[in-house]
Amino acid sequence: MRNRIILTVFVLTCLAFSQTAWAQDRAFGRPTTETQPDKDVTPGPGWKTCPRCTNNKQLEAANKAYKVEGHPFDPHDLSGVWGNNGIELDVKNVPPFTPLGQQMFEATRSEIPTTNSKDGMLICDPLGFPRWFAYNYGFQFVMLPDRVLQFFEWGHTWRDIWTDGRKLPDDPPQPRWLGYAVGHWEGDTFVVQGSGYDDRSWISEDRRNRIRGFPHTDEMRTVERYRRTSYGTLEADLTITDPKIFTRPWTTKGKVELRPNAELWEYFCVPSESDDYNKRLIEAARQSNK
Amino acid sequence: MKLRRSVVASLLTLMVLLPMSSQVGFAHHSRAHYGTEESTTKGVVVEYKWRNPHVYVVWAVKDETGKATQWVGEMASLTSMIADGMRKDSLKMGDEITVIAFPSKNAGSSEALIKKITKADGTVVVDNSRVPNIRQP
Repeated sequence: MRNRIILTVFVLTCLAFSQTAWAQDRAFGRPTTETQPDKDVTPGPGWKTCPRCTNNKQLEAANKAYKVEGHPFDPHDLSGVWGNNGIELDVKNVPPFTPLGQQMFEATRSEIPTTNSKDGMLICDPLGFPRWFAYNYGFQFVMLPDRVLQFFEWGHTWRDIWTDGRKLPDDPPQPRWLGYAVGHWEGDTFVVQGSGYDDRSWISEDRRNRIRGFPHTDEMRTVERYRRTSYGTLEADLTITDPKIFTRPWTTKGKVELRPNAELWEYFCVPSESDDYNKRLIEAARQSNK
Repeated sequence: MKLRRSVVASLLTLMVLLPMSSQVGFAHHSRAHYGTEESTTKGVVVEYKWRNPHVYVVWAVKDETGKATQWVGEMASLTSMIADGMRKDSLKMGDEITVIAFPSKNAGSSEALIKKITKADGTVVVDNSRVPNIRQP
């Protein structure tokens, strides 16, 4: 009995440690290395670093310099650069697939085991939404009177979240990679509803093994809930509903940290660069797996 | 006594496995095709591509007979490499370098995942030795 108690306590401690490490990874994105510079790398005086160019040491220094802890804030102002890698979807909580969902999920299976040959990212297809929620190299909210702009470093693109009272279109003339989005406040929570998505994108790559991606149809709907709980912290939850693919909604509860020392740089997926990369490294892997 | 030993063994296993599980699956392109064995080679930089999606370096390694093999070493995205201390001009053609890397598991392949690059004068260009589970950064 005593041994069981010791074992239980130990397992829980290990799990807590594991989750802490995971949370830190999600917050910082880049673990400490031997050659990291001590100071931010910027283009020059007056310029800021990029979210992903920041390492742990620099972010800690920036948080002190910008007095992030205890800084006053308006919970209805989400302005700022947030995170550096997106908010990873809760793959431990993937809903059961419908028969069609299972079929479409299997159809995304890679032809080779080492990287997903069917990922549109390899040929610079837009990641779309909500994949840009899960993977963006940092994003920025800009608050305007009639909309909130969300800029993403990955793809160097943006989406409009309309707050002027319009409704989501029932039958939009064309589906969009980023869909259509409207937002409103419920107390201190900014609620964003989205629909009208182009079904060529994936919800996300499946990070459990990276050989498949989560598909969706044009019936997918998303609800994001953002709540600024401190100057430096933004809770970001996402619920995905697609009755053709999943038997129930899929919710991710996430959190991103402010990047006070950063501004969005650019991460374009450049077809010529990707082609070069694919030929040299991915195609070589494909050939050697034949 | 036997029970106590098995409990201790379980605890040690968990201490190792659980933190590892937290590192699985963290970004971008898969790196599953790289092996876990490190190799160290000395060679000359032939090409340095400061490009997305991943920075890479090509270096030529000569064997005892003088025959050169060109290795392609993959790193991460530009911005990740900036965080690690690299820049667009960290390497140039002709630089003599020592490379510690994880070669591909595929026989006959000359691709590798870069762990550390040191120039002939001792300058460390990049060193990800502290990155836990570098094969899935």
